[in-house]
Amino acid sequence: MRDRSFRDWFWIGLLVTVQLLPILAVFLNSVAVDWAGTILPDGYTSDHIRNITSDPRFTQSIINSLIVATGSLLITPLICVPAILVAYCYFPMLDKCMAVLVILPYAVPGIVLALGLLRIYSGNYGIVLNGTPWVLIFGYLPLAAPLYYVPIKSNLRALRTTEIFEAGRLLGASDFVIMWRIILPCVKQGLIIGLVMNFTLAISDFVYANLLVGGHFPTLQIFMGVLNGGSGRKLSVLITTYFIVIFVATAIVVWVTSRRIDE
Amino acid sequence: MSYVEIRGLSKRFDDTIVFENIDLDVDEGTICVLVGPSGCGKTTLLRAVAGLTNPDSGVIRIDGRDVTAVEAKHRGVGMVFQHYALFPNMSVEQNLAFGLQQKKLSAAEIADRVAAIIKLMGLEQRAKARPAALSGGQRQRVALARALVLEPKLLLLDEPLSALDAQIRKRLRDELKRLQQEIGFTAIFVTHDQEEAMMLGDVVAIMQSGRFSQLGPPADIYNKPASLSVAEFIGDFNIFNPEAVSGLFGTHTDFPWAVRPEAIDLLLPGSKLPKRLAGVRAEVTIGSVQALGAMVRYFVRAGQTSIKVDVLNKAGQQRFQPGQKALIHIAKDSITEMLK
Amino acid sequence: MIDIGKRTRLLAWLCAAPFLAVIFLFEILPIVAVASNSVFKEEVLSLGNYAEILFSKFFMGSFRVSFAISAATALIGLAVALPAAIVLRRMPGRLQQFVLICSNIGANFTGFPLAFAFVIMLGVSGSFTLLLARAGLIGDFNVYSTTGLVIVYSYFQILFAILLVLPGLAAITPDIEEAAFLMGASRFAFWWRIGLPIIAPNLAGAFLLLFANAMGTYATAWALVGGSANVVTIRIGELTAGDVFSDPNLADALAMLLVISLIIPIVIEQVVFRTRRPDA
Repeated sequence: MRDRSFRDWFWIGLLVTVQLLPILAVFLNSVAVDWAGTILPDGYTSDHIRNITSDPRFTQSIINSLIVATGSLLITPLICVPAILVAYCYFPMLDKCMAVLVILPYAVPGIVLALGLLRIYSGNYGIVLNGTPWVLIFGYLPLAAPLYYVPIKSNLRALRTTEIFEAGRLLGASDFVIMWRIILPCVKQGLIIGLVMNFTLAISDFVYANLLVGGHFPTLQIFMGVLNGGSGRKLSVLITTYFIVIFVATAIVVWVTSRRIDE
Repeated sequence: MSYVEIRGLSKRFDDTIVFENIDLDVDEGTICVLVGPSGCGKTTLLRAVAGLTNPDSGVIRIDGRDVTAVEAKHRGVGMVFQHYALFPNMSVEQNLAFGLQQKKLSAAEIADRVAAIIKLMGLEQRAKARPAALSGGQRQRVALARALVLEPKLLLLDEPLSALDAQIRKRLRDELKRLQQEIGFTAIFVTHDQEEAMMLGDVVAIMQSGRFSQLGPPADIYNKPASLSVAEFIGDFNIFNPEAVSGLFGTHTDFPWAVRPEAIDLLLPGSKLPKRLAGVRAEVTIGSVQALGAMVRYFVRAGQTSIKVDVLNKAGQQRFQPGQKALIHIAKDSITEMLK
Repeated sequence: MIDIGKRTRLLAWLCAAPFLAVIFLFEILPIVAVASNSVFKEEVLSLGNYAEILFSKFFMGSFRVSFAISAATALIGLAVALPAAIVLRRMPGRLQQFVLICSNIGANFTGFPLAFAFVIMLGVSGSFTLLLARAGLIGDFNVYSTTGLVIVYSYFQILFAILLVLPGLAAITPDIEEAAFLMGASRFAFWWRIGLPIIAPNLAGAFLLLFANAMGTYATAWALVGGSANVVTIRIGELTAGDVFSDPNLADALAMLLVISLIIPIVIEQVVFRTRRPDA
């Protein structure tokens, strides 16, 4: 048995290593003095990091990305979570529709939706949202909804919601109080996972940002596109920064979910 | 007028009748147990009393007040659910305080009443624990406490012990009875377990396919089942059909007899019985013997009929052996004629 | 379902209303807009756009390339993820959780960051290109090619596949496995005759989602190969935003064909297998 478990660990280790390789490569490139024609860089420096932080486009793109991400994180859960909860508790038909919305982004790729948004919100119908962060904030909502729906629903499934409502009502509570004080705290874990994934989505998207706002409101990903093709040193720093942010977000998810296992 | 009064209560789902024309009275400070097989409508009846389901017709009065159209939260009833329905995000204390907070009581009063009920239920050690950290028995005790702390006019219990394992179930059952006698609350208790019903109920209502097939003190139901189906539900009765009765005992009857196994005396062949002891007798052969703890059960045969006989398992008492001849005697009072 | 009164019902619908409105405005309506624009050619109602695509060697070629890349990377994803998931299932719960979350993030690791990372490793002077060339394993490898796309896509496809496959493996409980081994089945025989049939519907569903995921990928292809990649999404983007080739209605028709090619298998899969949704 000991033998096989060693082999298991080997394979999982290999998988994780391969998973981490691209990230490692980008990081090495961001601190490399020169890295061409050799397997490892010739030397290491922090020049590129200083270089890029002095670039106003860098700060601007980070600020823009943060504006979009913050807007999305404020608006999306506020709109999605109440709908998910009332659908699960009161309207099973609506809940079934939401389950379909989870697969819809696979059938209708982002580029197609972006195309549609481009058609509608460019002023042809009297509304101009394109070129502003609003189109991204609201445009991401249908993509982010499944990220909340799936983990929150798995929390809800672990509850006996019908009995909780009945017990709460018999104890004199209104449905709002039951939702606010019992159901919502019970899906906290799913909500946090949803928030982190929503954040990841908002700072990782290129398709919507490129087609809908482009140069009017350059986000981190747009700026990466601008830098692509140059020496790559600046881009490496940018990508490394992006990774660090994503890793912090991931760490939050790991922390939240592992806490649940301990209990 | 009784404390809880249900008159002509009916409920159907689409075309199926859940229960029909139910009349039920519960006196203050007593436990009424609704017992019946699953699907007989007992839980729905309980939920109608709670206000969680609307009956189609009929009246429910609690303490003289007609609550038929009153919302569940204003009926003044407490309920204990089969699967506890504790709030998983709250500690035991918070669960107990929840209902009191909805009544907008002062923090000090809430703390006092929560502390009192925790003490009464022996939950001091677990006051800060979350429901997930409690055992099944503890969870149900918290659920009971949560209902009782609001001092409900009527406590409803929906199979509260069914999800627990046998030993805890027995202990909690005894505890519930003791608590009821101490505090004197009024309760309607739903179960599918006849033993639980007999033990807990001041009044037991046997419910079958949406109707009460018998309603009365447990002793009556145990000894005098009103119908063949009640006898079958209570279980363990010897049923003698009219042919068997005339064949075995030489007596004529138009209706089957139901006789409890412990009501049958098992005697040595040729034993003399006092003449004034009215009853019937028959010769039998011992089939098999099972020791059931306090009782010894004999399966005896007489012609084509197999009969169960329970005898107290007293030390030193002579046991019958399989194959041995014996005599059974059934006192007249122990025979219930099954009119339906 | 929980019984509710009229007032609560109204309030509950009010809670759901903003969500439904945003979904309508930013998901349903765009699809409708694309669909309705696709049947106009030079402001006249016609199926001309569709005809142009279906009779164009160039556009049909892009579908062929997209299909090939998507099918290949979906299969590669499953081929690596299935054994990985089987091994992973034997690991402690915390590690499983950890790998799942890493995969979740990795599966979202697309576009410029991913493409650039692979260029560093596998570009003309990338370290792996050098390593492999020195080992004599590759002649002249070019990451900016269809093969390059397959390699880069495989990265997120494998991680996504782990997310899709792992929950399905829960159906194979340890007692099923033990029962089979007690009857003398070998590991291989167990997976071939019992394990795979149990998870077959799940794998079919996973394959389709992986396929759809690759078909819809735009950012990664754009970042790696730019306009020179003949995949459907790049063609759509070019017809939309390109300076030379801009033809919005043709882009819409192409987009609709892409959607149709994805919806049909997904609907069939849902109807035939009725698999549960992936918890990804």
